[in-house]
Parts: sequence; C-alpha cells; structure tokens
Amino acid sequence: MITHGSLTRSLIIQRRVIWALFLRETLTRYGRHNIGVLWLFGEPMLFTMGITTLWSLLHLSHASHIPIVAFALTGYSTVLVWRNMPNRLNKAIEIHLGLMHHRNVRPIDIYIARVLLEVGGVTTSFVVLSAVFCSLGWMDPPEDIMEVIGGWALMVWFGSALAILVGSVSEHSELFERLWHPITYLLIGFSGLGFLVDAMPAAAQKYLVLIPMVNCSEIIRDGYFGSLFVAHYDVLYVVIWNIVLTFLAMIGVRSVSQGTSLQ
Amino acid sequence: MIEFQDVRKNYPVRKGLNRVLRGADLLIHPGEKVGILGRNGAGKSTTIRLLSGSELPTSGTVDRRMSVSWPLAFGGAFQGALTGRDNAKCISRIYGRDIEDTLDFVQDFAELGIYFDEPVRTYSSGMAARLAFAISMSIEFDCFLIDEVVHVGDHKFHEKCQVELFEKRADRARVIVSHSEDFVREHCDRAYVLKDGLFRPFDDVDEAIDFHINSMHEKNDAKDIDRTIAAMPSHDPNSIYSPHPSTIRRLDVPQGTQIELHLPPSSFFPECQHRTWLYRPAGYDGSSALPLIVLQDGWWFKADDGPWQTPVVLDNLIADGVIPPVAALLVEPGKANHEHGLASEQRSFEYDSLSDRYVRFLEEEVFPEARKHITIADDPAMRAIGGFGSGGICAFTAAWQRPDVFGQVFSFCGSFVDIRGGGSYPDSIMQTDPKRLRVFLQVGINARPSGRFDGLDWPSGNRAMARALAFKGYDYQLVTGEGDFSHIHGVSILPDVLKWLLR
Repeated sequence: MITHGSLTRSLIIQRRVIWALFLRETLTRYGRHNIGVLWLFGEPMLFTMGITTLWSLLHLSHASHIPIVAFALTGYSTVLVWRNMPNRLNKAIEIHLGLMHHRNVRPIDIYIARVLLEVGGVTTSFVVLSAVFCSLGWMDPPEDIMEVIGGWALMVWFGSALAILVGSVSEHSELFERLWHPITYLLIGFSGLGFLVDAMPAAAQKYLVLIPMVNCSEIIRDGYFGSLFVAHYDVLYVVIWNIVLTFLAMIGVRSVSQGTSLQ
Repeated sequence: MIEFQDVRKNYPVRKGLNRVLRGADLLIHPGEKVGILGRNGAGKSTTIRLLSGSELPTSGTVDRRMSVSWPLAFGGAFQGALTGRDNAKCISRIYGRDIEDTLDFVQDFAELGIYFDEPVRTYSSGMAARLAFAISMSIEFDCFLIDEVVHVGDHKFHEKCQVELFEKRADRARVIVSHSEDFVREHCDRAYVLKDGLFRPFDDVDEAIDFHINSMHEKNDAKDIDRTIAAMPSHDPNSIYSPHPSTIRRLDVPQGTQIELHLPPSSFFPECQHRTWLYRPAGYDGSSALPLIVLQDGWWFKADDGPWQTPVVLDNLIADGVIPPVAALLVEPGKANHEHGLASEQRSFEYDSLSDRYVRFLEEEVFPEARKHITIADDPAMRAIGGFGSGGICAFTAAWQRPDVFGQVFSFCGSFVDIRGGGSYPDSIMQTDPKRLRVFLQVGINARPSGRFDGLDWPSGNRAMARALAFKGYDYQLVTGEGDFSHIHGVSILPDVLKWLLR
C-alpha cells in the first residue's frame, strides 16, 4: 500500500503514527493521574532559584549588572535542550522494538515522537517559568522576543539533530552509549550555562564561540538582556553546524532502519 | 498479493554473516491459505517480519499489495505502564481507525472487565494475550499472519477466537508459520517448506509435511559428525556442575535452630496454608538485629534430602566467618493441604504476579511471627530475598515493589518471561528511576522448559533483565551457565552468591 501510494498518503500515515506514539510516550512519561508533569517545571525552577540565591550571596559586595535570574534560566533551559533530548533517545529503538511489528512504525517515527515530546517539555517549562518569573518581578521581560525565539529555535534544531544522531549511534555501539554520559558532563562546562563569552579572557573567547551551544545561549541572552552585555555569536555558523548534524542524523536513522532486528 | 523476488536477508553475527534467506521467492494471492513449515532456526520468524514489513530485506524485493496484519496475538508492543484502553487507543491511532469503535470492540471481545482500565503490566499472560488478540481483530486486514499456534485464554475464549479468525474472516488470506504440522494441515490449502534459505512450494499440504519431516531426518544423516553425536548417550548439560563443598555437614560446626512458624490464616491468600520455617543461627543471644534471607519454595532449600541444604550452608559459612550470622525464612507457596512439592496455579499466582501482594504477605503476616524468635535488621540492604524459577521473579517483584523491605535479590533460573507478564520488567526498569537494589541473576543457557512453557525463553529473559539493570546503573551480576532449567548450577554457587550479597 505504501509502496504504491503517493507521497501525500505516506505523509498522512506518518503524521498519524507519530501522533499515536507521541500520545503514548506522553502518557507513559507523565501518566494520567500523577504529578510527573510538574517536574517539567520543578527541576529548572529549583535550579534557577538555587543559582540565584547562591549568586546573590556571592555578589553582595560588588553587585553584578547581569540579571541573574534571566541568566540562570536561559543557561539551564538551553542545557536541558541539548542534554536531555539525546539521553531520551539513547537506545530508544531497542526499548521499542516490539512496536516495529506494526509496519507503519519506523525508527524515525519513534525518534520524532520522542523529540517532539522533549521539545514540547523544555519549551513549555522555559516559557512558563519566564512568564512566572516576569510576573513575580524577578526578571524583566525579554528586550527582543523575536531574537529569543530565533535563538531557541536554533537551539532546538541543534538538540534534535544531535539527539537523533546520538540515538542512532547508541543502537550500534554499547561503548558509545556508555561514553555519552561522561561526555555530556564535560560539555556542560563549556555550554554557556555558567558564563557569558564577553566575561571570559579574550584568549578563550575565540575558542568558546566555536561551540554551537554557546552561540545559541548568547543569542537567547542577547534577546533577553542584550543591552547589558556584548553578545558574541554567529548565526550562520550555528546553521551550518545544524545542517551537518541533521545530515549525519539522517544517515544514522537510515542505518538503524536497515539494521533493526526484532527479537 | 504479496510477492518475494530473490529475497536475501543477512544478520551480522559475531563470526561474519548469518544468511537466513538466500534468494527466496514466494507468492501469496488474496484469499489464499498458505502454510510455511520449517525447522527451528530455518528463518520462520524472519519470514514473518519480512511479510509484515516490519523488517526490510538485505536485497531483493518484497512487493506487498494487500494490507498485512502483525503476527497475531503479539503483545510485545504493549507499554506495560499504560492501561489496556490506552494501548488499544495507541494502536488504533497508528492504523488510523475510529478510536471509539475499536475500544467498543476490544472491550467487548477481550472480556477484561475492570482490568481494561488497569496497567497492562498487572495482567496475567492470558489477559495480555486476550487483549492482543482482540486488538488484532479490531483492525481489518487483507491478510493475517499467524505465528505458531494461537492459544489464547481458556477453552471458551479459544473457540471464540477460532470463529472470529477462521470463520468470520474466511475470505481473507492467511499465512501460518509453524512447526506444528497438524495446525497447518487443518487451516491451509497449500504450503511452502523453508529450507536452506529458500521456499519450496507444494500444492498439497500433506506432501509439504512429508517433505518437511523427511528433511529434518535428512539433516541428521547429512554429516558423519551428526551421526556420531546421535549415537552417543544423551548428554546432561548439568553434569559439569557439582554441589558446593559447603552443602556438606561438618561435625565441628555448631548447628542453627530450625523453627516451624505457625502463620495465622492469611488475609492476602485466603484459604491457603503457607508452611514456613525460620532458621536461627547458632549462638544467637536474642538481642542483636540479624540480617535476613527469605527463600521462596522453602522446602526445596531446606529439605534434608534436597540439593540446596541451605541450613547446612549457612551453618558452615557463618562458622567460617564468610558471612555474618543471619536468619533465614523458608516459605512454601500456599497450599490447600499440607503436602510438599509443586502446587501449580496457586504458586504461579503468588510468584509470577507482578503485584505487591506477596511482599505485603511477607511483611505483614510472616515477619511478625518471625519476630517472636529473632530481631530482624531494619536496613533493607541487610535483607535478601531469593528463589528458583518463579520464586526468582517473585523475589525480584517483592524488592521492586517494596525496596524499603528488601534491598537484595537473588534469582536462579528466574522466570523473567511472560507467564504473568514478567517479560515487561526490562521495559519497566529502563523507564523507572533506579531503585536501591542489588540483584544477582543466574540462568542456564539451555533453560527452555517445554510443555506449557513452550516458546518462553529463560536465557533471553534474564539477559534482557541484566541489560536493563546495567543500563540503569544497578549493582548486579548475571551468571549464565551451561545447564538447563536445573537447580544444580545454583547449588554450586549459592555460597558465593550469599557472600556477594552480604559482603
């Protein structure tokens, strides 16, 4: 049927499958009755408040001009994007092998459904927390909301492509699956979670802007409080990174589709 | 129509490639009833997956011009944490069916009652199969794939399935892949025999069956070495293991006390008697809190003429200072009478069910009796629970449900298979935050009990458990041996296991 249907028909089927998987994943993760969904906000909220408290104490003597709540929230939310999504896709196919018995379900559908769930989760938490913090007066609304959205979109694109790539490699290599976790911990240090490029030594700056996640957090922060610091980023550079990663991710998915063997 | 043209399918294995299909051709027209016969390992499951389209061929073409079902009554795609209703909804969405219609049909057909709105992991294997079959029937296909004999639920339900599948859907094509000749003879008009990676067509089913049976004998005659093996007396794979020296009583070692406990009538398992013995280490003064080991099928582990000799092992290990003084509870499954040995359904109900009922029975009804004689350590890390077969999965379930009661699990040939849904544990472990448990698993690679457990795979069940535990970073051990569904490997390593648990 699929082999003889039109592309449109295939797309309709795929959309249907992804939606079914998305709902299944959502229900499994957050449940019908429990408060699992609250952790979506709870975790970044606790982090942001913790950092804010810590920094407020440390900076008592020489008050920084950087709005600390906005700084912590943007930093942590971007980390959630590129760190959680790959973790959630790690070995995702192996876990869902049974679903492959339904012919219309392909590895890419499982990846997309999980990516959508994650993107939805972190984006919701980012938006809701921003709204809450703004309405409480803990931080000012973004100076340029379109720039925030643009930066966020680049970040999400990066995270999704990276996640699918990591997910597909993890199906092939047990070793990589093990190594990925320590790698992410190392990357956190270089991700813009805890620094602005402008505040770093000039010698380090030129290397830091080579990291795509740093570029994204700079863009998002430029949109939030760009008038208070000098942002360093290159949109084209991130886009090229994303295109290359997306391409690699597609190769990865293809290799998984051909290699899946059910038990 | 489904057509295979020059289909090849290879799987990478450790040493090169396993060429399952080697240029196979096959043709199935609408409405045809076709059987596919083949020995174990001939590639029947691969064929099913290529037919259903869940896998792609390595080369060649699979032309599919009718809608093909997934293998009937296949429940592996269920998400254990979701209810039957939610699982049915998900599959209905995948196939783009009307959700309300599907739910009405499935609810009516599967006869799950209130369980339809309970998580699938609480289902018995029969319930899960009923749900899977009902969902299969709720979605219309041109061709049904039937993998092995369809055995779903009790006799009445079985009849209902027969009517639904073979009578109401008599106009559809069906492909039955099986090594059961009778089933193919009864339900097919023609057949293929899958041999050496090719399908050999037969217009007459009986001819196909003859060929299939002959080719199985042929294989044994093909090579001299095979004949040599056939001439040798049958090999007992367990013979390489011998009981651990600690199972032998030593006269210089003080013996612990064995006390039979008299449990009050159980509120968890009404009308059942659970014979239970408490082992109290020698020289226990009654004041200190003791680590505790709880063993299911207690009689096996305690019996004077049995292989395990657990009280002797404990006496010896304690005397040698290998493990600290411990208490042990040896608990029999519930029985209506007082005889020893295997009680069938009640034991399975207590041990294979995934609920917290059994662990609550232990904690609320057995522990209080034991506390009349000893003080039990409060720390769950000081409490181990273990068993053999279903007693093994029972031990895991107890600790999984209540990590506050048991922190250590040990299982020999544990039944982590779908007797009552236990096959879903690896999935649950992967999707749950790690609990504070240490787990020891032993299994024999030849542990594939036949009869009512035909088709269930103990080695792969235990490996899947180990993978999930490793994935989540648990402190665990998996020991695979050469044996079959036998105690003897366990008997040879029990002392080391206890040492590992109580280190």
